[in-house]
Amino acid sequence: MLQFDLHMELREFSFNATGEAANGVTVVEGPSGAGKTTLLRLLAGLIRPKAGAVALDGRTLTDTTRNVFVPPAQRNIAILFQEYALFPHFDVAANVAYGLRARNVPRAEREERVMRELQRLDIGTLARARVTELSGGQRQRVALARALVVKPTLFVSHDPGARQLFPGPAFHIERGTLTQLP
Amino acid sequence: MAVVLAAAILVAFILLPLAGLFFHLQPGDIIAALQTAVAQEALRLSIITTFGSLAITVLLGTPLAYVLARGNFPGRPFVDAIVDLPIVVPPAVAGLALLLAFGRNGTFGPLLLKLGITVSFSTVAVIMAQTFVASPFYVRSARAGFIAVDRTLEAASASLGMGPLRTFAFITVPLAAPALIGGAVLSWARALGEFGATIMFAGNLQGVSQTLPLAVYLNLESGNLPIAVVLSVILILFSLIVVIAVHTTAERKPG
Repeated sequence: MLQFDLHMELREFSFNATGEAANGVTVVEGPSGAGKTTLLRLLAGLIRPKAGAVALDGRTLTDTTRNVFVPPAQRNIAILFQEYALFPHFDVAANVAYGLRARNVPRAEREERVMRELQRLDIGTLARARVTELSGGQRQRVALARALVVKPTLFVSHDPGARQLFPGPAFHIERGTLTQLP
Repeated sequence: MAVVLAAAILVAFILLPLAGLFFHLQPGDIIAALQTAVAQEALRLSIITTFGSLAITVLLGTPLAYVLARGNFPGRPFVDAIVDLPIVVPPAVAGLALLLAFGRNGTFGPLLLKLGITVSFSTVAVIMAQTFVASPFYVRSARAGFIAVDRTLEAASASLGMGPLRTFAFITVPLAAPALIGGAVLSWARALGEFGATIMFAGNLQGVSQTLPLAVYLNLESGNLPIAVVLSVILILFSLIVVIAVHTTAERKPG
């Protein structure tokens, strides 16, 4: 269970977001400029809110009143970035293995889990391909594999195309305020 | 036509004197010159000091370049300007400033003397002069390289569990590598050619502070033209390698 109540002062407008989501996949929706990226960054700990709190499974990740801020690397929140943010200097397998390397998973287990994830997403043959040579759809799957292979506590998608892939709980954002869809 | 002529004149003006040096070489000169102590010590000293100053520049310049590229702190334009300053300050002025700061009678001289350190007119002074004059070339290039790295990639690395240090090592540095290598090569070349600040701050002592450019000057002054020419040709060959290296790393795209 993800709970958050965040306040952020941005250049053009202030941003308030309050909500809850079940674990698993959460898709964030809203018109461009509504604050999707800001919310994702706040949840993942890539930026600090002006005020507010984020808790995941009862673990406080951010709490400005108690001066708690867990660094992004220790949150176990995986993000599917809008432009996928694949590492251009790694091949597909190394991209997917990245989060496992961060968790010091032994090499043999790492390779096995990467291969299984790639095959599950039908891109097993691309393991040695350079990410710069992939089509848009292939890039999306590689980014997905990279985010999911680490078994994140929370997976947040910033890619509108992923809405169809994950009919999970969704948030809808309208100009700086965030409300959960029924 | 006028454009072609103007271009040809400038290219010839740069190329002809440098190429001409090679025609002053007599067949036996290179071997004979390289057997002299003055040439051997200058070559050895230049290699030691330029790699010493390069190591210091990369070690201290990389964090500085990163902070200048990513940090948002008050006074950043000021620090930016200070870093660039040695590029425009005349080397002789830099040497005088170093002497007045770290020399025996300089501002920090008494303090260093108490610690048993005398830097002026030593090999350490050569390295300090080179670092002072050459480090901006590395810092500028590294800063530009870091700025060009997509910050979303660093964010992706963090969200996948890599801490700041490992993100820097696995993502930022490899993606900025062409700029880092290009800057390091340029800075090394600038240190290799360093003359003005070195002679002011470190003197011109054979085996202590007499690097290749200083040995060229000394041998010309003392009428030893063949040795001056051979050492000059060695410096030109190093420069050629640097120019080729910079052009090939600049053309190679990251990824």
